[in-house]
Amino acid sequence: MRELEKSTIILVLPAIVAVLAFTSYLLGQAFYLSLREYSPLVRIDEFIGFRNYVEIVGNEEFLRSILRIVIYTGIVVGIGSLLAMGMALLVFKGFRGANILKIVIISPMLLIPAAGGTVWTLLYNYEFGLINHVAKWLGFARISYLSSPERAFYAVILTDIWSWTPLLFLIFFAGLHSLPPDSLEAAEIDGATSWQKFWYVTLPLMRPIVVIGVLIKSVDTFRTFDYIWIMTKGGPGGNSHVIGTITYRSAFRFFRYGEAASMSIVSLMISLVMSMIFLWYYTRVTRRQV
Amino acid sequence: MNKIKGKKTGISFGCMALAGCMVFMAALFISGARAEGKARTKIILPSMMGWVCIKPAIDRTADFEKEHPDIKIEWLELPYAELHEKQFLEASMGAGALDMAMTDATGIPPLKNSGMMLPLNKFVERDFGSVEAWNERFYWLNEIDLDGEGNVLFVPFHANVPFGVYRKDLFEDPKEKANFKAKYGYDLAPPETWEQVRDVARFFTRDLDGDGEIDQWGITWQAASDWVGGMWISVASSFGMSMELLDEQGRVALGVEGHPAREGALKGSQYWYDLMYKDKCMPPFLITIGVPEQWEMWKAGKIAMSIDFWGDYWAHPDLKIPGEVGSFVAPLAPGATAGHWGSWWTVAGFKEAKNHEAIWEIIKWLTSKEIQAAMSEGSGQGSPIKAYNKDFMEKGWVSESLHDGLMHAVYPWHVTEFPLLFEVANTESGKMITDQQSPTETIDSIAKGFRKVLKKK
Repeated sequence: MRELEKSTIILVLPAIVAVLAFTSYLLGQAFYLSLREYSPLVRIDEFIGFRNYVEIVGNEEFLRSILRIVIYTGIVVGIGSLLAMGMALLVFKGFRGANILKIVIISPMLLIPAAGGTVWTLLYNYEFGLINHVAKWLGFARISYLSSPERAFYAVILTDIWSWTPLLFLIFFAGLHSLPPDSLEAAEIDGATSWQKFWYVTLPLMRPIVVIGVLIKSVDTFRTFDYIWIMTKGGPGGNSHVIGTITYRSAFRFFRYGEAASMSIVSLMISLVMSMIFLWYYTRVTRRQV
Repeated sequence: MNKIKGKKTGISFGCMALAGCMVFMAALFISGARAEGKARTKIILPSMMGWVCIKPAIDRTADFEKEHPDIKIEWLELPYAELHEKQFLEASMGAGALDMAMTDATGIPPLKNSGMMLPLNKFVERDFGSVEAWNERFYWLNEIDLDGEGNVLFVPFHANVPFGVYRKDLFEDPKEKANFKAKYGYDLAPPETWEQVRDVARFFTRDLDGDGEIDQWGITWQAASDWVGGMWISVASSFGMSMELLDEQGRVALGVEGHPAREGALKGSQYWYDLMYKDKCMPPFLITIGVPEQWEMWKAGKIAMSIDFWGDYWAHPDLKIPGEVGSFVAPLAPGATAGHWGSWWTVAGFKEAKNHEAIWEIIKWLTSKEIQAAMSEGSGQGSPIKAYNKDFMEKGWVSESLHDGLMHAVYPWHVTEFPLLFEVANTESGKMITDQQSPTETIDSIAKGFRKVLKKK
């Protein structure tokens, strides 16, 4: 056994060393850059300490982008989890056509974000979009989605839910398959209703899987960039900027690499805290189950 | 026994991994050597993705390569924003990913400032006699293509300026003419002043099917979220926004009360805002109207008139609009000293490129009469070369409106920070046209943003 552990470690060690080395190097570079005012556009490169951090913490636009991404993540993950669980339970039951339904459910995930974002931009188009076309046909007024400062942000959220809920579906679906059938059978014998089986048996057993799924999706959503950039570029008027897009804009539109690096470090810190909270909860949940 | 077996397995794995790495490295080395071994120089030339004007040149690449068997052009088509970003990264890091640059006004200052661009003087003097003789070929545009020390860095191959297009079937309809005259007291014709633009736009904004929603907009212009700043600069300057960035005391002119820059910008912004929210003859969803959306609206008969960089687009073969299209010079407000944004595209080479001679051959080819004619005939683009442009206009390939507009065109602030100023203008004018702030607040915010970029108080 010890020999097996030793050879396992030896085989895995190169990969761990490579990942750690690359990650540390890149993080180190980012942190180093965040302590500098560096802009190749205006040819400035000087050490300024933590001034970038002080400035971004006082920057209303940056703070609003953090708030927005928290809201974005909350809505996408919350609604996505509910939908994913519902779909997973439905498909798990098994019925004729369940396999086809599975493919339909996961198909949005197969579309690259650039294509998905473009399709949804067209769907939301005020003049020619299918959504307004159907609304008009049904007798409703057309609505501006992506040109409305209030609605653009939520329009992108809907697109993200459509695109990435299938990932949660796959995680939950796999989780359902891993549950011990005895507990459910016992509950059935005891006369539990479907809802009672779900609430008192399935969900508690699924908790670790749900926590992991929500953690993965939350950390992934927190980094979101693609749909927002493709559909609104953070607009209109900056009303859909999140931390990812504002960092990109700082680096590649304003060429303020030092400022962008400090934004990405702050984003990383928030993601780390988020992950630690989830992992702490996961440990609690799994300990309880044991 | 198990210990020995385990050890043997570990060693086998290790050997296999090592062998795999060596095969991979060898394959990399061989493919690199093969690429090096080829006699043909490959020149990577970025261009704007989907750009109609460059298409005639791309289509004729094979002919160029036949005449120059030692040169291969690899076109790298990129979206507008990425084009600048990637070229600037190349200039600042010298990675060798690109051999040439293709850029408009916004991209020239930072590239020029990088010190990475290839001076073309020796080629110009060899083939054209002198830099002066070379410069004489072009319009005013050439001023900024030099680097201040007399080095030719950027060569224009395309010239453009916003001008208006209108639906002839509407403007020439006798009933429309009579109704317009009755309402406004003068003849319906392609507008010559901003007041006339407003009258015509109001007149043609209609709810055609009586459902309470506008189906035909009097006027549009392209104001998609990453270009709205460009149209703002163009409109504001045509209302008299001087292109002075700083006043005599070094303050940001847009923020100085009474300065022509501020006055012109306020007038232009207010005009635009009123067209959208007071007169309601411009779509409120303008921020989502880019070139493809504008085309679609033309094709669907939803626009009566539009002002845009039409030299790029109106000859597009897919633009089957109802009736014929006429064009008009985009107006200048009375007393305006500045004109609309004169856009031109240039090509240049990077110093780090492998073959400077090949780069020069490509530049000569792009500015040759054959290719310039193909671009004009094929897409209606203006030529920056004086002798050609007049000829193309006489042949009917280049709109007179485009030609006239070029005469008054201005180019924006020629400073290294121009891309950053442009980004500020994008954000703040985007807020204005989505009714998040008034025109005055917009100008104040732009001035504030400019002060931050230029580090002025």
